[in-house]
Amino acid sequence: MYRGILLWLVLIIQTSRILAVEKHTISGYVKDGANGEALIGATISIAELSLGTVTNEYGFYSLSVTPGKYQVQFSFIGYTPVVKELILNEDRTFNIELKSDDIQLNDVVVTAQKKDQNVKSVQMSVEKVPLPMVRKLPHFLGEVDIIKTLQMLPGVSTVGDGSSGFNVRGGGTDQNLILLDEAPVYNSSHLFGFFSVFNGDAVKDFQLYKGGIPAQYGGRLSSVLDVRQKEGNSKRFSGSGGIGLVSSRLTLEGPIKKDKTSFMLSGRRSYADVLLRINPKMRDNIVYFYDLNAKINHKFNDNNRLYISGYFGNDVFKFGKQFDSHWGNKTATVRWNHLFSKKLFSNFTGIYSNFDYSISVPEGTMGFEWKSSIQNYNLKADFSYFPNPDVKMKFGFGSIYYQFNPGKLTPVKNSVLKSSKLEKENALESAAYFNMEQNLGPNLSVQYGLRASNFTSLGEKTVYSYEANKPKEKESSIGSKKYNRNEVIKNYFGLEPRVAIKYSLSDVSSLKASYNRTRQYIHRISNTTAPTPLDIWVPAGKHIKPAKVDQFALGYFRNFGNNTWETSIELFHKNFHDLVEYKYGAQLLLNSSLETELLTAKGRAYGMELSIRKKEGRLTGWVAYTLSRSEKKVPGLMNASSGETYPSTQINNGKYFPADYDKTHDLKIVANYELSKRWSFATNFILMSGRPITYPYGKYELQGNTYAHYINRNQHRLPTYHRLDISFTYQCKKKKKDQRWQASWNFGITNLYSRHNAYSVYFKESDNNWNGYNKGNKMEAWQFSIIGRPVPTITYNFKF
Amino acid sequence: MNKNYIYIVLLCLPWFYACEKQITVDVPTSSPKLVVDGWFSAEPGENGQERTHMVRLTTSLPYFSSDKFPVVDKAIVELKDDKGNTYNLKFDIPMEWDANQNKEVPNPQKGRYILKKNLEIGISYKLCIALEDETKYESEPQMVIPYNQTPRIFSEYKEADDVSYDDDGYYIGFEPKFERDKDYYFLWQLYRQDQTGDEDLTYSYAYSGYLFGSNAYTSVDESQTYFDEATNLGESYFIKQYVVSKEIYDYMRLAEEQRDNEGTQFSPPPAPLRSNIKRIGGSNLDDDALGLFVVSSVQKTEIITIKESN
Repeated sequence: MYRGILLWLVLIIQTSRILAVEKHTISGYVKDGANGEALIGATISIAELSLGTVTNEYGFYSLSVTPGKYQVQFSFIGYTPVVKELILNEDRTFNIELKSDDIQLNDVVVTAQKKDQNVKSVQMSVEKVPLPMVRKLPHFLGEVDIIKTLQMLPGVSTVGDGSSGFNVRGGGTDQNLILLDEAPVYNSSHLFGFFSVFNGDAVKDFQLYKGGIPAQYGGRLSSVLDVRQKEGNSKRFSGSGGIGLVSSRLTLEGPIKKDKTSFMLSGRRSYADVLLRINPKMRDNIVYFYDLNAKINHKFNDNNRLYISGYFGNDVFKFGKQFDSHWGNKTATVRWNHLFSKKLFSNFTGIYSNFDYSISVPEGTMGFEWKSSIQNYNLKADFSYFPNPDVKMKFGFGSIYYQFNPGKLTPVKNSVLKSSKLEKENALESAAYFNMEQNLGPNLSVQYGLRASNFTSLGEKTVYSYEANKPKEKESSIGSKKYNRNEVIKNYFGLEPRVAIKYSLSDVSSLKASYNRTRQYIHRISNTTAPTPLDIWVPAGKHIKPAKVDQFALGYFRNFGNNTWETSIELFHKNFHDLVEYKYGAQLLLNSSLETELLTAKGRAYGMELSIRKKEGRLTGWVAYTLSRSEKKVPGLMNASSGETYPSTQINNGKYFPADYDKTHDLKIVANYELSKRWSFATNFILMSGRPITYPYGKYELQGNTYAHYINRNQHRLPTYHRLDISFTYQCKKKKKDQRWQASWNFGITNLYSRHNAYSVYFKESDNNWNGYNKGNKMEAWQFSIIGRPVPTITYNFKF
Repeated sequence: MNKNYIYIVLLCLPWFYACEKQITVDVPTSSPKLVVDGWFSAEPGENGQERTHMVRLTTSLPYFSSDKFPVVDKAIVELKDDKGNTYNLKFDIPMEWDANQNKEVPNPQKGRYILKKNLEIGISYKLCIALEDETKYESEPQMVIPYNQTPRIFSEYKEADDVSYDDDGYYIGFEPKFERDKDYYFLWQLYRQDQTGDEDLTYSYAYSGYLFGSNAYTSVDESQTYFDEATNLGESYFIKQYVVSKEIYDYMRLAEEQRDNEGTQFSPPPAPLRSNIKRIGGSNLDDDALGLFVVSSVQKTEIITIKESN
């Protein structure tokens, strides 16, 4: 404790000392010369001082140094560096446009970061794959998919083919904060998880934080996926797109006023429904999804920029006249970048996000329509302060107002059903943070921050009370209280410290450690292994606590071959508190007192991630291996009088059991090889433990029916999962040198050797078993596989 | 959410397909456990006789065993009421017609413990079992819950579709009537009534599995519900409504859900079913017996005969 206080004092004194020296600032933006897109993570370095910095999410940089004559280099991998000579005797502004170099044409780079960023940066547990690499990898049915690419990285996994979301370091899928231009996306999948909502043509950059999460992020326990949309070409009108087996897409972008105002508009639609119409028997069935991404930005002057962006996506799933369902996300973000000074960058943001779904049986006596949604409105201000090259400070504050609409059932005409509605809930989540990144010497850097978050659950809602020290059940309810709209039901406040430290062992190796606490105030209610689009989100309140996690990570990073090879080993340990778990047989649908079906769980996850990456050359790619364990424990509620635990409040006799997404071994190999100037070959290979599953321990007979006898949860595993995918990309030859139209073909095969990976194993009586008492009694095990054969794909991509 | 959705999605993406195959897996095996199948109802016996109640005791088997469930025939089984009375159940092996021998023969596989007694409404009962090895079990008390409402039964012709009805035909439906004074839990079962040849005797048998309902959960209460077996013109049916405790309802509902559960990623995880038969001196819940001791009041609908005008 005292050592911690002492360290803080040293850091503050050190900062004050550094601030006291007279300095001048060079600042500005670094952009892509071809299209004016801001380059995130471009390097600005001064060799004479051995100093440098990198651009932020908007391409802005600021570097304050003592007066003198310097050569300043601006560089970004894949681009020709620019060197400026300057005599620095006053603050200067350099807006730099870098031109892409020949490397980008022939060689794919695995990282868009500064070459040795993985070693030099204090940040650890962060993953980033450049879009050119993502596009060349094999993708299921040719759909370029950021989420599926993430699942090939160490520490990131999924419970199976066609499953929505992803799991990071033993966390649940609802523990990932997925941001699209800073707007939260509540469901990141189309078609129940086969494809992600992110259109690869509309995305500029994405980054996944698995640990050491900076203090500006909060609200989810396990990770942050920060996806940024393209800003739009500010130099000339251009476009890109593709025609695939499942969907086609088109992106248009260009200047409205050159170098001042630009736009980006991108659309994607699948067309399985069009093909279904060909078949008269299938004509009434409709399955499709679509996305629309749009962005416009305007530069008022060097100090003020405005960005307005939005996303609109929907899935439609109609099964004849019997069933109709659709769901989708809508987001809108307005951002204003303002420079208060050369050293103080600010961003003011207003965000709207919505996820809604509906299910309906459109006709008949049992006809109904069921709707549910979650919306949030977010206002926030973020500041970056660059007092000197050794210190970067971020601070800010913001609030999110949530509206939860858990469900409303409306009967259709002639239906015998009654209308029904669960009460809406509201909540306000506010947070303030600061985050300091500081070099404490040539070898030692630290990042430390604190996030203070407050969550208030608000009416209008009826909240039930229950007898103390008894399970929350209808029978133990002792009354209820009706809260008016926006009346405070429950308030939670918490501090979330974040610390990271890096010690450079040499120019090419470093040791890093980090600790972070994160809190999550909203929970997705889902009692299934994989989330469905029909799950609802609920806020923490009187009976549901916010979840917390403490994560510790330690890593060793070492580059070889002039930073061509990156290797790392990271160890992590997470302790989860107050996770939501479900009673056996929980009734989650249309339940106005959901707390009676929920339990509180502890969790722990720990593991090791090994990574080897080759960043440059004809062969690029990575090998990632994760050895980990993720477990939960539901100890239950003790009966004070008997000393026994109430059975309904306990799972697995109160002992730890593997989480549904626990994967002990997880090996991934990703490689891209440039066969020639026009042809490239890419492959993915995955080998991982099967997910935990509950097998029966026996069977018994009741009323002439045979039932499985289950004891402990998740004590067995599906068979080992492995799969090989390949793809070839052919870059079409330009007919003229200055031809703008560039095209490529991508040919791929998913599941090359036709592995039948188990999506699930289930048990049932033989269909020929019904003949009275004990005549058949034959039980069977069945395996269900989603991708049961090699799946070929062909996609035509173009840009102009 | 069930696997059909996935199938439909796959159906709509003709470039690939899922596959399903029967596999061989090693499953764990627990030691044999006592299974209690005791179903008592407050229905009076026929022709003024006392009703015969049966408790069948078996033991569990390894999941893939093809053996018949072993019958426990040397236990002491007692029914106790909350007035202090104890009733002994006697082991009985029923006779069954054997076509090969052309006569009735005993069928030990159907051996069960029987008691002739009419249960009283509002009285609680518990079942006590002592096995030959002196292991003892006792159920939680179960009350015969008084209930005065009977569902309305009807039939309706339905054409086959891909969601609700497998075949064209007449389907039996009913409208439950809920009392509002407290939460009630129901099981409904469809019975078919037949006549036997010249003797003009009628007999009935269960024609469906159980449907489940409660005024505690549903927001679509008193809605029309249909059994999923098609019937034919001229056949006669009625419905029995069993009013049971929440524990019985939860057990039966979960048991049926698990029988239908095809274990996809969109299915809830299988759960151990917690019996209301506790082992005396057991160290944890897994020591308890499997199965149920059920006590219910019963309401019977009128008998309807399927006609074209129904």
